[in-house]
Formats: sequence, C-alpha cells, structure tokens
Amino acid sequence: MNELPKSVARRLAEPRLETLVHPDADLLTAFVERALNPAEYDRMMMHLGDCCECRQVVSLAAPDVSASVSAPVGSSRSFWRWPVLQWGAMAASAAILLAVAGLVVRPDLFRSRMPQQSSSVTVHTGPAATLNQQDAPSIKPQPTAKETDRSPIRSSSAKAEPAAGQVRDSSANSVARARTIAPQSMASLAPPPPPPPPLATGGGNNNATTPITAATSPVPSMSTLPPEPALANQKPGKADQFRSQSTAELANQAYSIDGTDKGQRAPSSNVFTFERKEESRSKISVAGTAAKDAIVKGVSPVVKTITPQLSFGPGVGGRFTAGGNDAHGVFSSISWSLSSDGKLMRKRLQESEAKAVQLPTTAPMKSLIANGLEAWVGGAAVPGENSGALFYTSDAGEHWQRLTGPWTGEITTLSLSHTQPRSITLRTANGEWQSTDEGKTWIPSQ
Amino acid sequence: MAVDKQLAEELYRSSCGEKYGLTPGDFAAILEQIIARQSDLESREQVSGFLRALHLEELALARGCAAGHQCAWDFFLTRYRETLYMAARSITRDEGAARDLADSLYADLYGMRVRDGERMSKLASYNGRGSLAGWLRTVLAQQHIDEYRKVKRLVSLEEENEKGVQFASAPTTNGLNLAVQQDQGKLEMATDEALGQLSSEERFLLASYFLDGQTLAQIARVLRVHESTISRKLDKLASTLRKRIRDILVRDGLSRPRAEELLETDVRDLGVNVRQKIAARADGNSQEAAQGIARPAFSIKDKIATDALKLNRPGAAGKDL
Repeated sequence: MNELPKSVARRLAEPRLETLVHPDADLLTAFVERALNPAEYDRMMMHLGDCCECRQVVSLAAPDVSASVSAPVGSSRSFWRWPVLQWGAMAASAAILLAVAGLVVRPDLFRSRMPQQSSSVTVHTGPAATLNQQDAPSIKPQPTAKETDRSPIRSSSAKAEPAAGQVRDSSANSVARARTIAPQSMASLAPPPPPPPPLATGGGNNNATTPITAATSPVPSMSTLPPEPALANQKPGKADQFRSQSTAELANQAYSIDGTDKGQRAPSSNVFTFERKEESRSKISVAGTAAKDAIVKGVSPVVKTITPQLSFGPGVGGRFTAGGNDAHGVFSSISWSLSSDGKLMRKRLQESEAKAVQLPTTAPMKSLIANGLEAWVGGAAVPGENSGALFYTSDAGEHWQRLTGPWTGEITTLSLSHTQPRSITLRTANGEWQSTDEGKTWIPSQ
Repeated sequence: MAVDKQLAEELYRSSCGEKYGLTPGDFAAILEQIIARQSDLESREQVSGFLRALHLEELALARGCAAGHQCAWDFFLTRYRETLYMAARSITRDEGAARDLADSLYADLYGMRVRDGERMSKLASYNGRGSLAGWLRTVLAQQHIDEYRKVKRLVSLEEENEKGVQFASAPTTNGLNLAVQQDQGKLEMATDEALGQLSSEERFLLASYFLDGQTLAQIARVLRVHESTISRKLDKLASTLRKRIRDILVRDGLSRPRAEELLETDVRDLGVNVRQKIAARADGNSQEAAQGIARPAFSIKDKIATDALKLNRPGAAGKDL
C-alpha cells in the first residue's frame, strides 16, 4: 500500500465546517442498507469523508457480511455500463460457441454428462404414496418405460444410484418408484411470501403405536443422505445471510414440520419422499406419521443451511430435530428435538450434543414447536388426568409453564401457523384445537 | 406535500398498524411527519414512491412501542430482544459491556426520560428508512461511541495531567526560516487543491483507512465491495494524490526533488515535542524521546489522535505522536 503524504493526512483530519451537522440514525441506517437515493447518498458520503464519529458509527452498524444483496441506489445504472455489457456478451458468445462445438464434435460425451449437470431431484416414494392436489403441479408424472427409453437423460437420472439428490432406500426389499421432479434452478425462485414470525418448528407424531426400530428397519438420517445437488453446490451465501436480516424475509428461514398426511411411506420400506414444491419454496415442511409416513419437502436458498440439521430420531419416524441458522443467531441458538422415548432434547449452538430438558412431568412428549427461545411441547397426559400435557417456555427451557385447554387425549401434533402470527394448532386423537394467543385460550378448529 | 388519504389508508393496512395499537389517523400523522422532513419530494408520485419504500410494518411497530402500546412492546421484545443483545455483543466484544449497552438502550427505547410531562421514547425517531434491526444497531453504535468518548475524556484528562500535558505548547513555526515556511504554505495549498479534486467516496476511503485505522474488511463491509477492491482503490488514490501534489508544487515553482522532499517530511515534525520529551525524561529513556521527534507527525492508526482533533485542538495529533 502506498503511503499517504503527511500533509494529506493532516488535512483530512480537519473537518470542513459545512459537514458538522450529523445525520440521524435513520439516515445512517439507510446508508448502511443502501436505501438512500443518489443525492442523499452523495451528501452522506461527503459527510462521512469529514466526520470521524459518523464513520465509526457506520462501521459498527454495518452488518457482518461483505457481499451485498440489496443493490445500492443507482447500481443498475452502473451495471449496465458498456464495458460490462461488452465483456458479458463476449463471455456468453464464447460459452454458446463452446457448447455448440461440444455438441457437434462429441454428442455422446455431451449426453453422458447431462444427467449429472441436471438439477433434477429423483424421488422415491413407497408403493402407498399418495399426493394431494396441491402437491400435484410440481411433480412430473413418472415416465413410463416407453418414455424412459425415449429420454436418455431421464433414464440415466433414474438409474444413477446413488445420484445426488436421491434418497437412498436403506431397506433392501423395499419397492420404490422413482419420480423425477422438474428441474428448477434455485436462483430462479421468486421472492418468498410475506412474513410469518421466525419459526423453528418441530413436528408431531401421529399414531406412534408401532415404532420402527433401528435394527429391523432403520430410518435414514438426513445427514447420511446424499445432498441435493442445488444445495450441495451452494454454500450459504453471505448475500443470503444479509437478506435474511430484513424482517420480511427472516420468516422465510423458517420451516415447519406438520403431521398432516401428505404422503405415505410403505410399511415395508423406509424411503422418504423429497419434493421440491414451487409454492412452498419458502419453507421446509416435514410431515410424517410414525412408522408410516414421512415427507420432507420444500427447500429454498435461504433455508438450505438448516437442511442438513434436520434428522429423524432413531427408529421413530415423525420425531424430528429442528434447528438451523439465521443471520441473527436467534434461530440457531437453540435446537429442539424429541428423543425416541419422548424426552425433550435441547442443543445450544455452543454445545456439541443435545441434552435432555427437565419438564414438570415424566409423561412422554409427542410433538413440539419452537420459535427462537420460545417452545411449546405436548404429549401424553399427566398421570391421573385425561388431557395431554402441554408446556410452554419463553426462555429456552429454563422455566416451563403448564398450558391447559379443552382438549382430551394425548397431544399428537402441534403446529405454528405461517400466516397468523402466534397462532398454534393442537391435535389429539379426539379433535383439533386452535389458539391465537400463544396457547392461553383454545377453541375447537372448524 | 400532504399525504393522500387513500394512500395513507393503504399503507396503514400494509403496515399492520392495527396489530400494534395504531389507528389510521395515528399512522397518517406519522407519515405526514416523515414527509415533512423530506424537502426534496416535489410531486405526488415522489411522495408515494418514498412512502412505499419505507419499512412500514417496522415503522408501525416502533411507533406503537413509542406510544406505549403493550401489544407492540410484546412483539418488539419477542422479535428484537435477542437481536439487540447480539448486536451489542458484536459492537462491544464484551458480554458485560454488551448487557450494559443494550440495557441502557432499552431504557431510552422505553422512554425513561420525560420532557414536558411526556415520555420520550427513542423509537419515536425511527422513520422506517432502513430496517428496524439496522436502526437499533446504529443507535447502539452511536450510544457505544458516546459512552466511549465520555469515559475516555474523563480518563484522559487525568492521564494527560500525569503525563505533563499541561506543559505542551502549540505547534509553532517561528523558529523556521522564511523559505521553509513558504514551502510549507505551498504544500498546504497543493494538498488542498489535490484533495478538492477527490470525490466524496474517495475522501471517505482515505479517511477511513489512513485516519481511522479501519481495516480493509471493515471498509469493504460498509461499501459492500470486496476488500481487494478497496485495497486497489486506496493504493491508486495514495499514489495519485502524491503525484498530483508533486505536480502542483512543481507547477508553483519548486524543483522536483524539493517537492518530493516536502512530501516526505512535514515542517511540523521539526517542532519540539514537549510532552514526549518530558515523559521520556521522566522514564529515563532519552532514546525514546529522540525517536519521538523522528516519528511521523501523524500516526494514522491512532484513534486517540483523531479524538484529540475532534476536541478542536489543532495540532494535537502532531504533538501526541
């Protein structure tokens, strides 16, 4: 680095009179977040050039990322400068020429590489798999044998075992069908929907009567599954981290686990269904019922950091560990899960493994939902009572509060609404109840 | 420029103001207040565009809290409590100090101060230009710097007394011959001219790096560019400035070697640094005192010097170092 002449350093240290009025925190924040118009930006920059104090404030207030996401004012103008276009056009032309040349010279090579380059996700479903109407549009029908013959890409993709993006069937005798989901670039995903509060929800466990043991029918952990190509190739970008700091999109880091029957897993197989569903891209949704169904669906560029942390408890489908990171660390600070014997487990960010949390009851817990430091956990009834126990904590499990309501029977499912903040749905074998005030009052669902 | 009623109602709906205890009237008044601060909005379209670009829900939340609505506070605490503590931690790099900083800000946010019988909440000054989380971080940073300066000034007076600062004299050029003084004048004029040709962003870069001692990463984070870009720009800027000043000096009649010599030394370096001499003598370390004289007049990475300059003590930087 060249040394600055001393006279320059001395002059820089002397503030100019016209810049001594400091901008308020609102303007400084807007500057940091590139929300100023060009004129304001210039004025602010002029002030910052002379004001040591504001420079320090801006430096401290800047988010801990180096990449920009929200483009600065006027950036579009600067991007479309002729040199950029010129080089971009040249690069694009070269790429096209190379691709055409490759196709002409070595068509066989090109074809053989296609399946690996494709971002298609191959999905195995059990024989009893069912998909509701909402799911249908995002899934291309399984190619028939004829179609497969006509399409070398698809057939290669289906045969590629274990190809990236596939879920390996751990059961040898399971009958699995492969479905190819339409390739969809993560970058092409549209902006996520409006904000529910940042959620980390763990899911329920319906009809947990015949738990699968790890020995007889092991349930694969997400961490052992081959990574989905789009996710595997994309490290959580700093851009994503920054974007997630806006309130509107923070919620999109949430994912949910709900116990609704959205698909089935064959009793004899332990194949999980993965779907990439366009309309649910803003969240990961995990649905499952014990020993029968388990679906993990929906991914987005923002939530990809949490995907590997999803895992199923050993031997019991439908019990989930929920945890993940966000730019604020709120979501990442606590990871909740239910163990196979119904104990609530908590893992803080700095801890290497999850530890059991002491609840005011010994009854096994069946489902949990969490929102940052808050968590609700419900399960079997306390001895001597008829209704399932529901507990709530607002301080990451340090203190627990018993919530009561009109429900009867064991609580099998809890879910947090994505559209209504603070709205919780509770399900037992006898019905469904809803609370819109974080569990203080409950009404039967319609 | 007044806010269109229909637009105000539309923005109120999208702000979820009702959730935070605000009425449409309250929200319209807030929007009017914000618009009144913007002198450069001339047309209705500009007003509409400006208002739509605001963080409306966060604005409603902040103003709901400022108005003392419990529902807004509940939501605010749930959503921003942890964010605030984490931001304080990243600013102070110390758990205890972070707690103190965040707690003191909470008091200001809640409005512990009362003016004319009215509770003054800092959240009332949030206008939604940036995100609420970013605004909280900025306010924390401001508060942290204020606290730092407050403490530093209190301490530094004692320290300075102990170090014999009261004996320090203002820099003088009286002892220097006329030719040197003339050359110095030319150098300052050339420097001003060269600096005048810089853009505001270039000036910001120079000041951040050479004056404040910020790292390339810190500057890059503010400007949202890569560190290497900052490094390249700074390198180019420093050499360009040097060349410009030298050219101006040559244009003004100085020889090239003399211009180079002027750029390397600063006449104020030749002044006797009384404080350092006394301190060094007290320590029995005369060698360090000699070094003190020979050291550059302005250590750009010393924030203390910068603070001294902020206290309107011209030349203090040169004496300090």
